[in-house]
Amino acid sequence: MSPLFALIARDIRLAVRQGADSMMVIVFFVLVVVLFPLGIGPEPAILARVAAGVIWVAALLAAMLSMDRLYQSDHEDGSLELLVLSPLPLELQFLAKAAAHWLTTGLPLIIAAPLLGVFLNMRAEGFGVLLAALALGTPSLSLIGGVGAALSLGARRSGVLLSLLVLPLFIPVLIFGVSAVDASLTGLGAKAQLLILGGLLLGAAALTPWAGAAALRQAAE
Amino acid sequence: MHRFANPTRFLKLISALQPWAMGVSVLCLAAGLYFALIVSPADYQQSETVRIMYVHVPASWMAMFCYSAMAGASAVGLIWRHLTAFVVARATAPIGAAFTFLALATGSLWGKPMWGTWWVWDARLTSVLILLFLYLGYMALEGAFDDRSRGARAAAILAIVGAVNVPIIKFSVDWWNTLHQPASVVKIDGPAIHSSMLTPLLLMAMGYTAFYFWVMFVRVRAEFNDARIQALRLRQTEA
Amino acid sequence: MDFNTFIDMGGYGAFIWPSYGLSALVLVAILWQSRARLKRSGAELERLRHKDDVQEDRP
Repeated sequence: MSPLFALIARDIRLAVRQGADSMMVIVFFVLVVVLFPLGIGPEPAILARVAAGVIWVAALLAAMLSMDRLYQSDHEDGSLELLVLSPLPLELQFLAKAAAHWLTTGLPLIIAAPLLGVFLNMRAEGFGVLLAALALGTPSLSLIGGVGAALSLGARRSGVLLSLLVLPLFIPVLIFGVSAVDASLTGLGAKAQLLILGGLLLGAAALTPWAGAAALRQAAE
Repeated sequence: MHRFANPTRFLKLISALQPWAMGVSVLCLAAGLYFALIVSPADYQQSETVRIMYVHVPASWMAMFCYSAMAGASAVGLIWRHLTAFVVARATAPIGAAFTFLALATGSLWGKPMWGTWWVWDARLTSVLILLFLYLGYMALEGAFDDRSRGARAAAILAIVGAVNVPIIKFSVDWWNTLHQPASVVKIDGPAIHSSMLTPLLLMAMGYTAFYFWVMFVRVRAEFNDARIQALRLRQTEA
Repeated sequence: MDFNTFIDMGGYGAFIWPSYGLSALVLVAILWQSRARLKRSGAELERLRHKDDVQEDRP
């Protein structure tokens, strides 16, 4: 097995063994969404109107919630230093970490999203696009969040700090993720928005490894 | 540039430049205010509210200028390990945040009579709001470490990552249809506004730019003082 | 031009003056804070240096 996949497998194994982490993210995701009908009232038309936005915002928060653990334990037990010294380029390791984060949080979020669409009375035509947008958008969240997690390693109150760093950078994904669903529901077609989400993902995949690796290197110094 | 990586030389330079920045700033702002409030005419479309432009547009320019300066200084600091560059970036952040806040607040005061609303979620306003959050994130990250140099380097990486937002702000009015009017001064085929309005605008912009350098110099000198105080304290506790 | 029409600004004085006032307020505030910081750090540095000299003079 190549070292890259070994690293992904290690992270997933760790996540599965701790088990609760992934589960907690999903429960958090569902809980946040459930708060909205209780907060703004159960009017089906209003819920259907805001469904995509609520699901996306909840997904951002859930993805961010699990983010600060990404490098924390490696930093604390010293394995981060070993990773930095290993012959595998740190940029690739960053991608592996982000992939593992996506597999343990992004993917479960996508699986849970249709259920929440039903809760929020979303129209059936929107489901496919919502899933496609989440599939293209959540990996970007894992990548951008990975940079934030690496930057805030060892900081005071790193959890709150991480959200302050990362949420503004999530905004483009949120905007196009929501407008993709809205466009498909109004019959305009979501192709343009999905292409932009894909472009954001490619851009993030190309650029965040450099920033993330630089951040990890100086965190391990 | 590498000549001024030396803190003593850099301090000498900015101490010499500071009175000039102060003078240019005070003179340009005084002349700019005179032209903006008294000499310049009201716009035929926007009537008197056009006068808000003379504080709004320079603040917006400076918001982006300061971010570019901060990201540029951060890059210099990371690449050549010039600590002086980190100090410049750190001193720039709060000034840039102040200009960004002013751009948003005066824009809001201009939007109410012109568009009938304090705020719209269009691309320009949203991207400038993100810029403000980037400044705040930079300052929070920079101060969140016990080891100052670790904070400086982490924040520098964040500043460079956030720099993708600057071209988005610049071109947001061209790429998306928005309420916000497109640029009318910085255009390839020359400015599209009359010289009676261009004069106060450029004077105010020059005043704001000089003001930035003035305050930045003051802050950089304070930062260097702080570093020396820390070094002296360390020596005295060791002694 | 008399004073009242100048303040009124064609009915838009309520928007124009706050934007100038706020700009002045924020810029003066950051300038004042920066200068106060410089002054404070300069004084502290002098104090420490003085203390340092005294310590070094001791036999």
